[in-house]
Amino acid sequence: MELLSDEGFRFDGRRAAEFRKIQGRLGVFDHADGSAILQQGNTKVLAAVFGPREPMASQRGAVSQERCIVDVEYSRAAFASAERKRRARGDKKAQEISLSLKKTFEATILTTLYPRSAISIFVEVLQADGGDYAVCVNAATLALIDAGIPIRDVCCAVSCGVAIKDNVAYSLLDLAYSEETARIPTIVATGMPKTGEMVFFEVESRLHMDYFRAHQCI
Amino acid sequence: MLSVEQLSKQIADICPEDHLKSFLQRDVRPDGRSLDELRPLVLAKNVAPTADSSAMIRLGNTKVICGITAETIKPAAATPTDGSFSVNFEFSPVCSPNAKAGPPNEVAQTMSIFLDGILKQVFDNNQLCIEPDVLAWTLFIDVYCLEGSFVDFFYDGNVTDAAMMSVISSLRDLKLPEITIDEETAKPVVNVEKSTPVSLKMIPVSTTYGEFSGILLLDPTARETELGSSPITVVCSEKGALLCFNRSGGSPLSQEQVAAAIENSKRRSSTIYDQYFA
Repeated sequence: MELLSDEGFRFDGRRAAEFRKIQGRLGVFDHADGSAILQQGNTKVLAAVFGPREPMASQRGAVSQERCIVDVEYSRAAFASAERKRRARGDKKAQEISLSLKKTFEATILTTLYPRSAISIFVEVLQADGGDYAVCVNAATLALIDAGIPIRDVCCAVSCGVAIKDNVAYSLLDLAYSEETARIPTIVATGMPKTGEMVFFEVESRLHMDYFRAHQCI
Repeated sequence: MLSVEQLSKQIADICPEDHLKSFLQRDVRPDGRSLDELRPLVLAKNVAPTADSSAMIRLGNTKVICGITAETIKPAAATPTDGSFSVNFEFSPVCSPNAKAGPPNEVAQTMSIFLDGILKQVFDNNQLCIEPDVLAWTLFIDVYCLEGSFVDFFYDGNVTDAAMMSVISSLRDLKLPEITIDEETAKPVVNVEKSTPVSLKMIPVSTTYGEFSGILLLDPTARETELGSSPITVVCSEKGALLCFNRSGGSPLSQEQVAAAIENSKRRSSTIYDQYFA
């Protein structure tokens, strides 16, 4: 599959730096303090935020006098991807994603305002068509906004692939699943637009430094 | 100055039983429903296009989503002309502030077993056979509760009825593509152009009653379920066949109440069938 045609179009007709259609709604759940559903292209993620509230018994050990505990739980429906994958809740992949989301939001939320409390963020991926992690971050940010929890800045994430055509590197933003499986170098970056700071940055493939242009992602 | 609604909610938190009793004495429930009135029911189909068929049910604020994925397997040696299905029910972490990582808890496992038991009665595995002893379909039925349980709120609860309906609705929409085994290569050939729906022997509809001080409440909210003793679940087909009567302990019921509950469920099953599945 050709990632970028000669005219500069991707497989779904997008340009290199073009995002998929974004649709979202806040306040989809009544029982959560904040909630959101976000859809980027065909990737659909639900996020719910509970808190600030009293820490649960299991979190007592982590209670801090200076800041609140941020607890994130990531889950994915078995039918979310085209191939059904039933992963037990709390398997390694889910734990890794939960941990990186936790670190991201610990840096984003003004935790010092709520000592001895806990804020829980739950994320459920209903449909996965590429860029799942990025959409999770964006959905969770929207849910935090819906909950009215003070945050340093809006946390935006994007997945980006590097397609090399005629020795020129093009950043393909907001990757779809078929582009992700094309084994190009992918970067997932989470940043804060106002301050320009980066919160999370992950590259899990080889990429020549000449082609590395971080600013293009944000 | 608190509004009447806020005041009512605070009283419900402080002395919940008295609060519910005072409403029931007037033959009405805290959310304004009569004793045998349902909450608004909304059915949305094909909500997860990645699954082969899916449905989401909203019953009041309770939200349950079901997705069915069909894969092919070699039939078990003991049953060469049968495919198989498995039901997996889970509470999604978004549905409760106390979600924990790990295997589904006992409530979720009980629900999986309940749904599986009903399906075994209405679904014939024979229709999933593609080629005896060679290839058959297996259906993975994944049900997730997105909102509706654990915590005591006024308007959610009764995940059972929503889950049952989401499964049946997904099954009704499921179409399996035709597969033939090529004689020369012995490989399966899929013909997506031609798909056939699966058939159900009958359409089960589940009706749950909460029980509080001997009074039966149709479609109980989470709080009503929590305050009473064990709820009753009756599953009837659209023609009035009784598929399941489930009452796990709780305060004793009279025979008239049991008979009335079953009659009511039969009526409700045919109503739901006419409205959504006819």
